[in-house]
Amino acid sequence: MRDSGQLWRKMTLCSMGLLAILLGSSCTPLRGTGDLGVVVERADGSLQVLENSHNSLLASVPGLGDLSHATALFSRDGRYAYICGRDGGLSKVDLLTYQVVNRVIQSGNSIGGAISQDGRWLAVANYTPGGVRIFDTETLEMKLDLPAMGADGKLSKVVGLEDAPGQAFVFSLFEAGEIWMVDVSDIAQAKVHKWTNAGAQPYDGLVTPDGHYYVAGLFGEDGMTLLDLWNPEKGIRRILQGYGRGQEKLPVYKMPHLEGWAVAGTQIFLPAVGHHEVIVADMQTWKEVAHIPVHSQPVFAMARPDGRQVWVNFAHPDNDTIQVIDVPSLKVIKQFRPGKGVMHMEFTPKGEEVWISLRDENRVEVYRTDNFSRVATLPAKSPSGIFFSSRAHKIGL
Amino acid sequence: MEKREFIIFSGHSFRLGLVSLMVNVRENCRIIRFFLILIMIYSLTRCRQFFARFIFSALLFGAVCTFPSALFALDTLRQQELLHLLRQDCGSCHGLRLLGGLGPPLTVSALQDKPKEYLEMVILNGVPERAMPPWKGLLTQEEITWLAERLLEGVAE
Ligand code: HEC
Repeated sequence: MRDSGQLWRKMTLCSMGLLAILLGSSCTPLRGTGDLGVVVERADGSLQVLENSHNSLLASVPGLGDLSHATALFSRDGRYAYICGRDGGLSKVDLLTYQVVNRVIQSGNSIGGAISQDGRWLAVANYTPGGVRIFDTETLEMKLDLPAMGADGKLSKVVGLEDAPGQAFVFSLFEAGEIWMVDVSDIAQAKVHKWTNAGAQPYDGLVTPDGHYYVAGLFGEDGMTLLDLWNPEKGIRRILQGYGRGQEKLPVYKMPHLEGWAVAGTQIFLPAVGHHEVIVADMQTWKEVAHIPVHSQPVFAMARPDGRQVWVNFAHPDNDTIQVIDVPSLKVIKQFRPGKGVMHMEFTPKGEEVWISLRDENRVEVYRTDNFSRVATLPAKSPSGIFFSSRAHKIGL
Repeated sequence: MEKREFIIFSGHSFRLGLVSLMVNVRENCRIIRFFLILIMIYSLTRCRQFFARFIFSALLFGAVCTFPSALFALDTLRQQELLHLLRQDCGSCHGLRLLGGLGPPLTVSALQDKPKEYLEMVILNGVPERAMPPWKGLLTQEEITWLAERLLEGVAE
């Protein structure tokens, strides 16, 4: 009797222990994804999942292929990151389990993407073969294939693909110099509008945060092309023409990026091409208000979410430097050199901090935006893009 | 010979003049080296004392070997920097693995029919009105030649 009682007690103890181990390992505490994001480690083809509440890296997700120039998009629920790589791979990564839950090879060479207003469709822009492919965000099943055959009868590289209001995607054709808009309200009968003669060699595009305008930057001429998304029937028009005003064009060692908002109040900040300037335009008139001389060829001009500052980084060989423009005075108020290979800057959702990737230093740094002090340094292999899940809820990102 | 002409024709700047001078000097080096070797052989036959002969020839041999290369060869550190530049900075347009992006692929098969001189010219001067920038302000002729050679033989992963 005594023996069996002891045995019984031992067994309960044992099973309780087992249960504790099981529970401990399988149930991590619940958490949201609003403060999560990813750092692209482009040399290794991996991602680091990060959180920006305490500034730490949570896990590494390997096996994503060639990630040069990779962009990340986020599902509407904020749980998944979609990564479009240069090798045409499209991967869906779970930010909570750090697993690649789905991966398809969708094309030879992709450059970026966008998610539709309702979160259902993911469009990917491709260089080769030039065109746009649209996928179901849940299954990654391809729903639409849109070769970018320009009026010149050739396939063009697609650049500046953005989501727009009214279930649309807008993008530009690099060689053909066209802007296209595809309406996917009914994916089976998607409607495409095309604007030809949209300018020489558009290299990137942006949609303003209110979803009102699409702006395509032009490499082949000093100027930009504007499409009013609220009144597309009015067509496109050229803005900021001749912004270089006869100055000799300087070599551009890296193409500027427009995606990433540079809208502050009623003004928009745009990197000039071939000029060491940031152009400031008024968004009501689309006329130039100022041009701010900067350190070198600007790559990104990104507004802090409150629009009070614009942070600018630069092309090779000056990619070790950052300048901060104060919006009310339109003056550069801070210049500093975080290190070699500044690739990307990403603001926390309310803008009190900014994450900076330093490709050649193999690290990511976090700065306060009020006093520019560094608050964290984190190791990452050849980091390029940094993307926060808060992008999920913004149009044109 | 062809190359020299091409450089003089394609460039207008003082800098390029210098570059072509350097190419000349490099070729002249071969002649200098040849004469040094002649002197060395002569002195070897003349010198009676074995030890002096030995030292003399060793010194000359050293000078012959290092003089031109010390002036012109890219040291391994610079070579590594250039490879980094090729993958990362050329890669920002041509793809990290040079498989193509906004710029065309720069793989061995894509470049197989293109002469080295053409690649050097494109890298040096860029392609006017196109997105390929001229690198002459940032890289020397020597470095550009080295990059063109690497591209043609294929850059190992
Ligand atoms: C800003 C973008 C950009 C950068 C940076 C860039 N290239 Fe290019 N490159 C191009 C484009 C675009 C072309 C095609 C030009 C044309 O239309 O003929 C090109 C063409 C070339 C060609 C000719 C290829 C062919 O098949 O004819 C070579 C070689 C080349 N680039 C080498 C380089 C090297 C080496 C570097 C780095 C030192 C570099 N490029 C950096 C954009 C770039």
